[in-house]
Amino acid sequence: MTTPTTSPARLPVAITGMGMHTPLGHDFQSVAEALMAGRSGIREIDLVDSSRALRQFAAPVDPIPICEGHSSRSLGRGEAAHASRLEQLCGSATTTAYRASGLATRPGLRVGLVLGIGAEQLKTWEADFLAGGDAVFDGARQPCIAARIGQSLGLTGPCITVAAACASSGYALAVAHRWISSGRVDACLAGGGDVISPLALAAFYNLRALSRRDDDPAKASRPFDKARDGFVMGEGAAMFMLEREIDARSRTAAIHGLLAGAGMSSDASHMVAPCAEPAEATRAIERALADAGVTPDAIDYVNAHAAGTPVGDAAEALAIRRALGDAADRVPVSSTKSMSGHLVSGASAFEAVACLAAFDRQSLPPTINLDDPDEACPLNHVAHQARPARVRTALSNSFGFGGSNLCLVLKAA
Amino acid sequence: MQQPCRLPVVAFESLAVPLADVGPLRSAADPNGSPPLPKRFLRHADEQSVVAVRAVQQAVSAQGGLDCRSHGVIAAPCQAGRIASSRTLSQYATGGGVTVSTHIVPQSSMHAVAAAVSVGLGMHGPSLGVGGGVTAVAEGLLTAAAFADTPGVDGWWLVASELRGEPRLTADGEAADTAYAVVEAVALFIAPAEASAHTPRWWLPVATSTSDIATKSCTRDLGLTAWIEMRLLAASAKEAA
Repeated sequence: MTTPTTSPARLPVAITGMGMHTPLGHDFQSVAEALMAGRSGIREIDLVDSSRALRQFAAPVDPIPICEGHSSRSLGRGEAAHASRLEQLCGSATTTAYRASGLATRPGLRVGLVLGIGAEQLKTWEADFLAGGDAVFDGARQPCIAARIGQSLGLTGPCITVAAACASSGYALAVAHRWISSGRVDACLAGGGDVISPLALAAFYNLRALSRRDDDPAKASRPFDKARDGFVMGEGAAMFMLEREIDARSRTAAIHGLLAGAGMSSDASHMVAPCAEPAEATRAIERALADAGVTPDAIDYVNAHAAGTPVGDAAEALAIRRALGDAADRVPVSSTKSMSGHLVSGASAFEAVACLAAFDRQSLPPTINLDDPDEACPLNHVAHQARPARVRTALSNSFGFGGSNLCLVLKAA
Repeated sequence: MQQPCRLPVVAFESLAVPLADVGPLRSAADPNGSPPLPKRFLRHADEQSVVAVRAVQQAVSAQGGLDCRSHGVIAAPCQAGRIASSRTLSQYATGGGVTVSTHIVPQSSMHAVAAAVSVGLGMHGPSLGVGGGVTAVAEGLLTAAAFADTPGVDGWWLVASELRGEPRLTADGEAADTAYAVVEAVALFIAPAEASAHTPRWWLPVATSTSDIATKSCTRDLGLTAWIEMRLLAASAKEAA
């Protein structure tokens, strides 16, 4: 088996536009404020299920936006209102990021789109079925959401969808980083999103992956806590505009942060169950650090994947300790899923937003509900309240079902 | 770091199986030289996953065996998971959440085919699904080009799959007419020459855009295997000239 090889660090790319719809807000400053205040977006939801088996709490986006930009060019307004919630979330966040970057008004640029959505077809068939349609039975092939968004925005670069379960939007950012580094595109919109759906809730509940603490929803998501009993499903989308740093600086664009590197691996252990031995998760962290050209000593903050599952959180804590070595005693770690719930396909992108919030506020978002830290997760936890800190470089982990590991290194501008 | 505009292909295998014949493939013997699958691994797998895993095993076997542990997987399925999804949705409508199988998300998501190859054959490199729809092959090529130079990854399996002649399904998830329904998968092993002991046999051009109309229309009219064979032959002829 080949051991990781060294190669020159990849040049960082600048983040010059953001768009988001999340359980904690619909713009960067609102989300940053909620994260630093330790505010939970988890609450009871209305969901009709005849078997009464579904958890009635989650972290929803309310309201789901109607995407004006998306509707005006590719879909009629009526059609946009009926487009799937997933498409509206992703379309609106992408349009916002594109406009915010200032590149939408610059003709001639080859702009690509990489959308991280883990189960687009399944979610689309489900939404159609629950609305009385028969697309899943019919089988007619339709263009994907990425293609429709790309067309509506008039993008001339490639528009693709990538999927790696909970690491999907992180993979999207990694692909965009490489396309920009190599000159395949001038700039690239990347990120991802997901929606809460009855089928997904039921499947994860039946798998015993969801928290069953339904007496107090806001306390249900408790990563690293001894009393954790599963994750809480969330939804939302976060999209970024990425471009070469030199290009961004030459046009004096506002730079929110830098994507410095990504590391990837697979557990190859089980289609569903998390792997208790985190050798490959450790390797993904090490590869991300190498890709960014930083050492563990340079890391100021770790935004953990930590969804609140008993096995997954402990395995990740071990991976962080192995990869960071002695620095693990010093580096603060938190899981923002304690507030946002688990955005599944959108989690990596949302947690990149949390890292940018840490840079912006020079403060670390906390893990709320961490009343009794598990000895199996011996980390420098940021518990309950935000912690002021000098934050220049952050590591963000995403470990998906099926064993997909994706870690990002982000830097302050 | 310039991304390649053509990919070095070391191995290429395809498999096309009538939908009605996918069942026996789930428990078929592993080919010689291929990593064995875990017991009953394909029992709940989507039809495209079953054929994709078997196509990769054939390719590994044809190479006389490969150490796959440091390989990555990019799977480009088209509408994978539709049969299981239709059955699950019908059951949910009548029986509610308790009827929903725990397999529906891991086995019917866009990542399912890639995860099946990675987990089934013990590949620890990156693993992701790409596309999901009519432009999946072009999206797979663009993603493979993006990741081709990833340190620590000895090579990449690009696996495209589809259910050709998509049949209309009944509420029970059964195909109303399987006469023309064929599950097809193409497995390409891509290994950059400078990072590997493998010699490329073909150079496969990367689509410049997902709106490459030729890609869409050719895969729809010819099927995956024929389309990729055409691309490989055309590229080889150009190379020879």
